[in-house]
Amino acid sequence: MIDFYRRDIENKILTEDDALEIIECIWLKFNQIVYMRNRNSAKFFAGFPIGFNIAIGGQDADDNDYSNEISFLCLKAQEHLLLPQPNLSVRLHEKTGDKLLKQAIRVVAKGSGMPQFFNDKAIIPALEELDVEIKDARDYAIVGCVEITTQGNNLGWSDAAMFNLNKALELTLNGGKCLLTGAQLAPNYGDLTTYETYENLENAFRRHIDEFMEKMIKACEEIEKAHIDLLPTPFFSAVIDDCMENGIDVTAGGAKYNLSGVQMIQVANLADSLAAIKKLVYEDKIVGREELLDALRKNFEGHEILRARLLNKVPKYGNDVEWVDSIGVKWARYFRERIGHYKNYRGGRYHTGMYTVSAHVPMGENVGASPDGRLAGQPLADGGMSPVYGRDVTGPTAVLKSVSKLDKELTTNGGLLNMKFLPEFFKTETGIDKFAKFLRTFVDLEIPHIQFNVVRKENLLAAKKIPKHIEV
Amino acid sequence: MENLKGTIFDVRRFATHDGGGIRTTVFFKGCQLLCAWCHNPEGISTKRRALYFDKKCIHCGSCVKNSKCGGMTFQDEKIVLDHTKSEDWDELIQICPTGAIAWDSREIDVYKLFGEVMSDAPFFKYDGGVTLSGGEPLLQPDFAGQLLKLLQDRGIHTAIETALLVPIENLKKVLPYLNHIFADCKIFDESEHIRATKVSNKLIIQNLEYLLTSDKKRDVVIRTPMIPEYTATEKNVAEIAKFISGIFPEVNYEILNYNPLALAKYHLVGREFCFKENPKRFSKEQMNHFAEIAHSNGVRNVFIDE
Repeated sequence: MIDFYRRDIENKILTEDDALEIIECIWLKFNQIVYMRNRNSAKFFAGFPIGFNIAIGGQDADDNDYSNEISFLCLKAQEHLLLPQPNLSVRLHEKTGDKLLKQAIRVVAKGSGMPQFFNDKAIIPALEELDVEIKDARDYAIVGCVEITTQGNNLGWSDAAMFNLNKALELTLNGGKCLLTGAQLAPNYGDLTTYETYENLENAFRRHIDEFMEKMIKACEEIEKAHIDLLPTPFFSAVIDDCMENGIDVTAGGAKYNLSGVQMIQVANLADSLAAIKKLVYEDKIVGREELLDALRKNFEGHEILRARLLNKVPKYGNDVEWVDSIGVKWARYFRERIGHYKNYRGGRYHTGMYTVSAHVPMGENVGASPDGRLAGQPLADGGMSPVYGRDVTGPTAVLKSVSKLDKELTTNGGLLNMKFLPEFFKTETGIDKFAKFLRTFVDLEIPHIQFNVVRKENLLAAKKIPKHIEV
Repeated sequence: MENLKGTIFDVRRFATHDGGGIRTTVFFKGCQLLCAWCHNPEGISTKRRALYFDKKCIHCGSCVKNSKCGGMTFQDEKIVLDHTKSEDWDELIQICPTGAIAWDSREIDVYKLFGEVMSDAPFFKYDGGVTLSGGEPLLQPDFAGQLLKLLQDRGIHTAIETALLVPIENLKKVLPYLNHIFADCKIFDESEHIRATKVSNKLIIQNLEYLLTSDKKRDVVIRTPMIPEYTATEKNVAEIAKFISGIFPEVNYEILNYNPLALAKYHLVGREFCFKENPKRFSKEQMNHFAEIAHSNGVRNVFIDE
């Protein structure tokens, strides 16, 4: 694009303002199509436009920054329109210039949640680990919200599945029975009252993960088969590298890369739940195993003091507490290692992501009361790598430190870290400068993604009352 | 090195108002000034005491049930903590399921504290570092000095916020390990100082003279918080400006706007706040006016906090 832009500017066919207008027109266009979804699908994705993702910045083959005049026009368009689309992404790395970084921060400060930031220092090496060639890895793009892909040569199937680790833990604690319906969803390998040690509990949890993974893989294969038989996509195949050369449709494995991405949901609740059990039940023995299981079955009714203890007297993921964060890391690693043994139906690799976008709400609906003090049916943590809202009480630097413990290889399919800041923080140049330093460290810590809500609680509550009159 | 112990009441990460970059600020317990407007009243007393946070409380009554000496009681359906009673506070803190009862401070050894503040070392890389604040960090000079030395040995930028009401030896012990010094000069007139803080400012004035003639004088920022009716008078700003610029004309001087957030802390520690009605922050024009007074009384480098 930049060559066309520069030539037109030079030949006086176009001014900077003209170019901005064209960009803003397509930005508007991006917001026009919203899918009709069925009731179940709507729970996960209702109201979202299709999801166009435009990335600016990023590093070239010599590690220099790609940004140019059009990058700044894209930021300007977002600053003017503040609409939900496109998903505007800035690719950061060690050589990102201060000018681009600070301009991006000024747009974030406007409160549209964009741009979001991706980290080349995390993503490029992680893609290489996934056998992606370095030139393709450097040229990565983002699909939909936060899903990582190579460009023009990949059937990434990034939403292959979402695996609810917290449901697996529930079944581990309750003898394979659903806490919400009482249905026997999995074999009975024991329950909390029968696990004499924390290791016993972990072993049972591992078995449940393994078995549900097997089921998930089978379901994925059926879907892939159906795509090959019923929904081949010749046009799409024509524009994806290697399909024509191989003479194979993209759905059948014609592309250069054939990945399937599975999301691990949600590491924050999982770490908090297991930390509570480990400390209060098995180590300090303050909470009885029968007592806790009874409380979970009754959704904490009559166990309010126990619930308060679970919520307040055990450190939580997101506060840079090594032993708690490492529980989350351990199970995410286990899941990734395990799924790495499978090949998808196209002969490609399964890999992992950590994002829910808004699916943490319906996925929480399916999970009964959990040992982290969460009530039955309540949402899980948002994002994918984020701490449970309100539980990160040690500040934003501690959140980054916690999240950075998740290896970058765990999120080759995309990671999502949501954070919230007050608008006041961005009012001064000093604030912008400190925020830039915060993001520089985000790059150093090799966290794949971060995005920010810059809003005041009071404004959100006021907007709920009188939507029309409030500028959020 | 000796493993010294000190008493602190908070370690705040992502501190963005206590010096350059992203910092971690350590709040030292104990201060000999009793400023009527004190912003960290929990930091004044050197003694550790239990606090009760009603916002965290679910009124389960566990503490009252287990209180043996009347330290926790129900009064008019409210839970009340009496820190003068000799309770087993550790036990009550452990029993409370929400963390509504907690010590206001903790004793910690210097290596442990060093480890704690180094948690954010990746953020210090970009002009950040560690700031000692309080309370008065110079009242624990050996402990503070050792912490600062450990940090400097690792190349971490160090700063302090001090009111300087300490023997000069304390200042001399710590000064070599500091990259940056924020020193308060609240009120110049001694009798006014006594009225506002209950103590004379003689020692502070001497220490300021020492600081502004030392080889660190360029790393010093003298600060005056603008407190309505106490420090924020034309006369006071003029006197301070004359005094400090008389010692070192290139002195850095910062006037800080009034911060109305302290009020919320007072009910916790059971102290009276100096204002019945919490005053508003000064306008930009008013702050500029004070800066102008400082300037016309000899200070070349005047700053206003944003």
